[in-house]
Amino acid sequence: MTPSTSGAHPAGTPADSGTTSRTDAAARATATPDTGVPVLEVEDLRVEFRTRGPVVNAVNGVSYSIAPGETMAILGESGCGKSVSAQAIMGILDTPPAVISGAIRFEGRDMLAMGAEDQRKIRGPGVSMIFQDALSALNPVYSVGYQIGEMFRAHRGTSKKEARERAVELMDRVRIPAARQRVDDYPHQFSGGMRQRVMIAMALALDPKVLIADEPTTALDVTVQAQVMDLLKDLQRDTGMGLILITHDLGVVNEVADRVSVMYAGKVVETGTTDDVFTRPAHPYTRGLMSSIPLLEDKGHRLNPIVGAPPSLAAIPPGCSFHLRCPMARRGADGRPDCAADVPPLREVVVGRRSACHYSEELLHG
Amino acid sequence: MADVQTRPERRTSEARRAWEASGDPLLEIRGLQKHFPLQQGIVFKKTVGHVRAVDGVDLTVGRAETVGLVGESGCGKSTVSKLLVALERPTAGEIVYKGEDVSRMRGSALKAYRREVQMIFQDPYSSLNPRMTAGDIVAEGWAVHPDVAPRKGRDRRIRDLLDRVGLNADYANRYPHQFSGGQRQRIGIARALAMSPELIVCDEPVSALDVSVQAQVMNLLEDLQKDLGLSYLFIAHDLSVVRHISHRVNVMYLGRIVETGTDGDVYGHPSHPYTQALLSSVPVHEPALRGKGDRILLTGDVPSPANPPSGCRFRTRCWKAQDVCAEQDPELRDRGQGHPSACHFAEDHQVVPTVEGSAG
Repeated sequence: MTPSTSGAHPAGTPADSGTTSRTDAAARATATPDTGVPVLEVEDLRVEFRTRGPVVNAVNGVSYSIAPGETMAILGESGCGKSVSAQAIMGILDTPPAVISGAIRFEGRDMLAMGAEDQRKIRGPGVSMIFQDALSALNPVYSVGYQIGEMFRAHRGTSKKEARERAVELMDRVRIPAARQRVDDYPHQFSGGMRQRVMIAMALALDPKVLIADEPTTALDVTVQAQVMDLLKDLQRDTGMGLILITHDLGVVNEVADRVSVMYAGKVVETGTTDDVFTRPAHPYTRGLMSSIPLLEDKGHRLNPIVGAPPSLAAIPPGCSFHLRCPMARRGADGRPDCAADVPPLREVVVGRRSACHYSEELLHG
Repeated sequence: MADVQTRPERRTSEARRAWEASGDPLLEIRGLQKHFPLQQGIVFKKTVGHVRAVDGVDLTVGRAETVGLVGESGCGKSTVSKLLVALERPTAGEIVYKGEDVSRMRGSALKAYRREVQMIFQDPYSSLNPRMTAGDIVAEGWAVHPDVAPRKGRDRRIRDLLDRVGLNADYANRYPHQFSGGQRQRIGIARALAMSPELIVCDEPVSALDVSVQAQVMNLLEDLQKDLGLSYLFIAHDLSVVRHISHRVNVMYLGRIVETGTDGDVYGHPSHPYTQALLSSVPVHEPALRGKGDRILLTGDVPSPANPPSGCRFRTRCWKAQDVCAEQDPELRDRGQGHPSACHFAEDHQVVPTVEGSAG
């Protein structure tokens, strides 16, 4: 953690922490996002759950990084391990049953190697997270102002009165109308979109450098989704934070993400810039997803879905985990790889594009 | 699939015979209303108001046609589906099915109606009984309507139906928890088909499914329509899904239909401000189209259906609203755009960007 975020100092007076965080945010906003230096790096992350039944391999060697000001989307269907990888970063998985290995480096320091107290200092001012279902993520018996203010009280030792003031400011910032009148209201008194804004306010309270948004708009109506995504983009522009967007919605990825990592059965199968991946997918799974979606702008023809259903994470097929559903799967004659036996590595297929398919070149050039 | 679709003999009424001779649509809804009372007090209940969930809806579904009903949560689209399958009785208005008003049907006529109009539900997890096998779930309706399937060939029918919806017929003895979400939704479809229906009300049938599985189920619904001549009322909040499957689309807001037309009319030439805002909010999937559309961001929330605004219901969030909007309720009619729209100031404004030309 940089010394400038005084949030970790318990002795910091309310006034102190207030000014520090403002200047901190201003400094970051003026600094041009330096895409060369990632603020958060995940390397060969593995998460397995050891329960009574078979071992569930939720995340199997996932690597990605996020730079300041950048938006990276993690795209995948339910049960592909995309949320678990984020929960591992936040340290909110119970160990056991979860067994986490690999490295999660925040500003160069491995979070998995540090103690619980050091991790806690990163959560909030360093990395924070918003969840899909705001109603169940918020505590129903505390007012929203109390819950937003808790961030300041817990991390900065701010007084109750000051924390409430800061909560009002934050509610204004996430465009909740009449924030001062609503600060003492309870979560059930807010609409779905407003609850999601309350959660965003909590996540942004300590000016995090990375915000993880796990399906932030899935439970919302489309007009509200547009408002919330707009708000997130504006806040990102103001603060220069990195944004990891976890979603299954290809449209949302296309509209907001700079880069995208496509996950399948606990692995990243393709990664690259959004434009590249969407215009010329290099993995058959990505291509299958694209041809499964009906379009708004055209009635279109018959959909061309992927056959079958995603595998259970407790029984991932050998070789390429997608080969049972893949139209291009080969048995591997003439010394070429066998999709049912050889695990395809995530390799660079074009500059800036990585794909975990033995036959990506055929897909790209064929 | 002649062996799947055998319709039982039934006594036909005058009205139905007249309908069969005419070319009238299968289903006509006129001025449909459903108001739920708001009550106060525990011992002495008194009604303090009404939630106007559905407040004057007109809708027609033709033979072998798919009609889409799209709207955001709380607009009343699910109440319409409940009224249609006669789970709720309308406050006012009529549902005319094959020339007969459903609210006047009694006894065997109502029983036959309930067989002919089936429903597919949103949640494939809670809509199947976990203690019944897939085969029993599909066959359950035959206990009420034994004339649909002769007792002798029922096992064979179950296998045919499971096969028809793309499930392995040997899975008839499995329980719902042994199936994936997409497979469960297929069981729900087989259950509806078992009644040899004419019309299937699909209430958000694919919104709980992953995209790859969603496409499989939509293709199945299209195939069944082609082979069996089914009609669908397709209710969903996903505008792309509704466009893909529907011949005609109705947009609903706060208990009313605000715009109706063919998919090309409504998506290509939306004329109601709400339709325009709704369409412009949908994220596009093509990098080339990103930022090309005219994004209209609505402010505020949907008003309470217990106390809807006077005049036009959308006026509190509309950028075009004027005094006349608060005074006069705009009727749903064609104001020169080629399809009906419930706006005093309806005008064609393309908001969905297309590859050929960006929206203006």
